[in-house]
Amino acid sequence: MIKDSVFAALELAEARRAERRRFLKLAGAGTAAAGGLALLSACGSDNNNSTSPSPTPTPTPTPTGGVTSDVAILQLALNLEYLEAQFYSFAAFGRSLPEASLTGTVGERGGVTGGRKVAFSDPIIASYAREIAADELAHVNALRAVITSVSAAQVINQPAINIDGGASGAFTFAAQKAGIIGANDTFDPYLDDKNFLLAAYLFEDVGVTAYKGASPLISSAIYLEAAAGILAAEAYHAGLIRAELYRMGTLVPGASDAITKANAISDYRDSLDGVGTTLLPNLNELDEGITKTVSGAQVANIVPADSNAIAYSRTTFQIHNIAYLTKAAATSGGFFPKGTNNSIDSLRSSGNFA
Amino acid sequence: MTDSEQLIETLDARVRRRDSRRAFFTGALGAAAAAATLSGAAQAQTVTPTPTPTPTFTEVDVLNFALNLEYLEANYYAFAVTGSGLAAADISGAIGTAGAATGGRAVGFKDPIVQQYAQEIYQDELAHVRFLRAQFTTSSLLAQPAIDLGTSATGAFSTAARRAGLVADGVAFDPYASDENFLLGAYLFEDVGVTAYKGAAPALINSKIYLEAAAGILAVEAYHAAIIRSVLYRKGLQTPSLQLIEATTAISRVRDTLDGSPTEDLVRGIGPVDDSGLATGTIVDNGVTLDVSNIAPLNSNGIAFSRTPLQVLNIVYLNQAAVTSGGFFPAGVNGNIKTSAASA
Repeated sequence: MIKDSVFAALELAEARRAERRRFLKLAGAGTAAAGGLALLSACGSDNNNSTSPSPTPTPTPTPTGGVTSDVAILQLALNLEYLEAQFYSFAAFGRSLPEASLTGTVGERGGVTGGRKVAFSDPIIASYAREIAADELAHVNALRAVITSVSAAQVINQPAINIDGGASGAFTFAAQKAGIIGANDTFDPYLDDKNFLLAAYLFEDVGVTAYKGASPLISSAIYLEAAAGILAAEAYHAGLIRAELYRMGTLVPGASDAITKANAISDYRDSLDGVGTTLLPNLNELDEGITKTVSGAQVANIVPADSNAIAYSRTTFQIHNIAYLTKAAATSGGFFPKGTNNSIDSLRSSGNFA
Repeated sequence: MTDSEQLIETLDARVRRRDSRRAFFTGALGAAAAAATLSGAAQAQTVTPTPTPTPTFTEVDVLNFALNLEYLEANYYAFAVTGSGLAAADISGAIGTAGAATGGRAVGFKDPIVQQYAQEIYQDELAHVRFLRAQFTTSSLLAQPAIDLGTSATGAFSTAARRAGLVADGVAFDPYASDENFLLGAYLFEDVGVTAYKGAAPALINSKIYLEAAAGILAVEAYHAAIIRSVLYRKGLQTPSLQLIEATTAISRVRDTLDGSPTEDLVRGIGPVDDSGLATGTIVDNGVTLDVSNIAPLNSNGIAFSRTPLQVLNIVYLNQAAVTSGGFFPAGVNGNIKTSAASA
């Protein structure tokens, strides 16, 4: 028998979750406003964000009617996959995804700003880029097909995406804020192997935490297993990128900044998605660099995980804080200049952590 | 921007995973092709997904099953890094037949990065053992079963290595003898851990906290697998005479054979081929042949594979038949999920 106290806590938490899931389904997609989904999302990651909006729902018009929460979660994931897939497609092959993989019915269709092929110096890293590019396109197509199997009218368009390596691009903005470049410098992810890996680093752990945070929100066992399979894929990718940066920073002369910059990016992401409280100082500490200090020595930290060696979760809001590169509640910004696309409006929003 | 159609070179048939990368290069057909591959499974679902199947295993069964695997992995890394298995306080329990993990020893690491990774993975697996154990009261806690991590020519590692053609009949495989052998030993376990947690996910769907925790352990096992696979890949390319990449192909084939040939479901990640090694694939892009790695073993949807607990037992028991012990668990695992699948 599981410990009574643990069981009781589980029962209570499960009851709360079940209640909120019922709220979401009964209220209908349109009325699942920021309040309800904040609670649902926060519940999913146990973060209990103190800055969640009020739980009183504000009715909004039903956008399409009858959208299940499962499909909305898959739509959210598809936005992230569009972003990653386009980045790797350009980095590895110098071109966009095929048009047929980008069009849908829901949300505004946008183009991709920026992106070009990386001139890799390490052929192994080039082969990694191609592998990941193919995997991410497969994810895009898989999510589109699963959503289509429910209703073709619920496939989201690719939203506007900024993966530009120029002075006004999203990467430069992030890099300046993370302090890995000067306030007037530019970060070009397509410049060389190291910059490519650092840019990939920005995305991959976020994908892991997104799928993990969403896992309790999916009601279909089949979609759950598929989402778990994509979660695993993103974790393979993230492990690969992190290990490569660690190796580069450790072994390649003059490239120790691969480690310091990766760690700075982690700190930056961590600064966007909420802070701890006096009572719970580790609350919202959802990110880790690729090294840590143990007994005064710097050791590898390829796996970002909590004290139980369990990967972190981010809420749907927190994912958007990172994607929009903001601490504020917003519906666009950063890598998505017009926001992500979703049948449920509140699944396009970042949280208020300002 | 117009998307150009790309020629696809016939991929190495041994590396079946690479077929999935056709989707990338068939331009407008790619999406349709991918949709077509999915639609077979999707048709079975119709518009409404099939009802959530009643899990055949309880949550307790699944957590206990996972704990057996974590005992196995944690002891392997504990031996490799510290020279000893897990401490008594981390393996005691009231449920099942208690046994010792035997036969391991410390690896004399030559590559400091491999040593760092081994240390990190050891800490993670120990944390997994402790986390799973912490979910139970003393009277319901699963004891560690007997685990064979030894180097005898008739032991589990040598049996697996022989099946993979890494050593000849009667010759022992010693995973503690070198960095490379340690990595191959780790390779044996890590992808299996990923597929095990993924396959168990549906059974936990009604328990959201455990589901999320399992998803988090799944992710960590995938991080581990990527570390091991990427290190083996680079070392294998740098020193071809070590034949590390060939060894992973062979080990994957052994695992794939042991766990049978379930009907393909590309959405769930089930299929007759659910494993792949590190051999480099190739694609042709604009007339140029390019290498593509295979660090992440995924199906054509980019989805990791699932194994049922019974299939996982086929692998750790090193037996295609339905048996209750063997391989790394000479007395079998503890708990209710104890018999491997009839996968022969």
